[in-house]
Amino acid sequence: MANDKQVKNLVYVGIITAFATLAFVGTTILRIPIPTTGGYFNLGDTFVMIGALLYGPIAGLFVGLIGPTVSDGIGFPQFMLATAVVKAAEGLFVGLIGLSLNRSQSYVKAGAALILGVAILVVGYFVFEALVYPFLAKTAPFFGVTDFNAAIGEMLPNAIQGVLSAIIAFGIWRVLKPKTRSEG
Amino acid sequence: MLKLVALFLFLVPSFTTYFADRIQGTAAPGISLWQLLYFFIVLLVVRILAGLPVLFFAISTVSFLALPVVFVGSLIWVVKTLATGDSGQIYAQSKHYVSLLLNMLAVIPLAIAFISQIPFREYELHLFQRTGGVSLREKSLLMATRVINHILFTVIPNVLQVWREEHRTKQPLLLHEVPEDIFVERAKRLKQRIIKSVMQMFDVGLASICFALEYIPLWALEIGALPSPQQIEEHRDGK
Repeated sequence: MANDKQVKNLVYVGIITAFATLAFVGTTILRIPIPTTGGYFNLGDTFVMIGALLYGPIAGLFVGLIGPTVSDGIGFPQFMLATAVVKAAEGLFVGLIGLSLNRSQSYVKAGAALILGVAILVVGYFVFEALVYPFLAKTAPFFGVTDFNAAIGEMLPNAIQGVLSAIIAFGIWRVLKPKTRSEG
Repeated sequence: MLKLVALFLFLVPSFTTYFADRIQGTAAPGISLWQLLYFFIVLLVVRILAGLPVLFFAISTVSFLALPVVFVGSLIWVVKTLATGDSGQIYAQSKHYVSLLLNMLAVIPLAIAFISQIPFREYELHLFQRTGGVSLREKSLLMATRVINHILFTVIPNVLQVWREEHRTKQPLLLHEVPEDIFVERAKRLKQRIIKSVMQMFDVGLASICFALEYIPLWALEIGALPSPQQIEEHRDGK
């Protein structure tokens, strides 16, 4: 017979895989191009944020690291590096606040976690596109897709993407969050 | 396994400029000769290695994924050009989106063919029939492959089908049936339409998560019950 710990580990693996796959699908199905950088707008962040809020930082990290990054491999491989780092950080930090939510279920904390996630998304991509990619492009032309001005131009679409994802994630979290004692 | 290796090898050129640098020439504005050649080679390879059904599935999927990217991207550039009056980049952008379309038409079918050839079911059967026990790492891999298969081939198609049935679009109007103030009316309803769209995305997201997680506890129990190599050893030793 299986022991409880092993079953719990397998459930955890299944949950991370499920959210990573959903993040992949969410990133791949709806892609609206952003003219300034050649990047694209998507709603895969919704699943990264929900995964992190409900199942904590490790789940958030892996969901962010795997799902959107694999999706970038299809058609936009130059953004894989930025996506891997930014989305993993987004999942990790949203999950760190989400971890404390398991005790309190506070809407304020959930909102704060999601706002932090949006901030990481916007600032993270800006840092990569304005600083890291132009630096890498000096040795690897593959990364020569953005510059400082283009990165500034992409901040607004990224912010809209983040806010929209966060709104949907908040709604879904409200439905799926574990019930507190007062809620029965 | 050989098919997987061959498909992987054909994926490599899409991540390098090595071949594009060597096969110069332009087939049409925005399309290099290499890109066009690669596109036809990919279709042929998918047909031969993965079969006709996979090729058709790949083409329909890539149309679903790539066409919105290309058309919405082009539309955004047209709007931007009309708004700013700067038409300097429009030609370069047109070429970019044609090139991007061809790139996606090649890469996505190859990726789908690659995934379709991974022997998930055989691997699962192999683990269930094995007499030497199954390690925790193999159990985790088994769980992951099952979940991915379930989401990609059951959850997403079902959720999309239900969504389509519940949100049927109205029949397109003929030109003489279009009211004169249609754009004014639609602009007035823009806010409602945006809220409705967000609500629809919420519905699809929630349904996808619920269906995706539905069987995970059951599968964890089933897979977790497979004996580990240590348990097999202990059983053999009569402990």
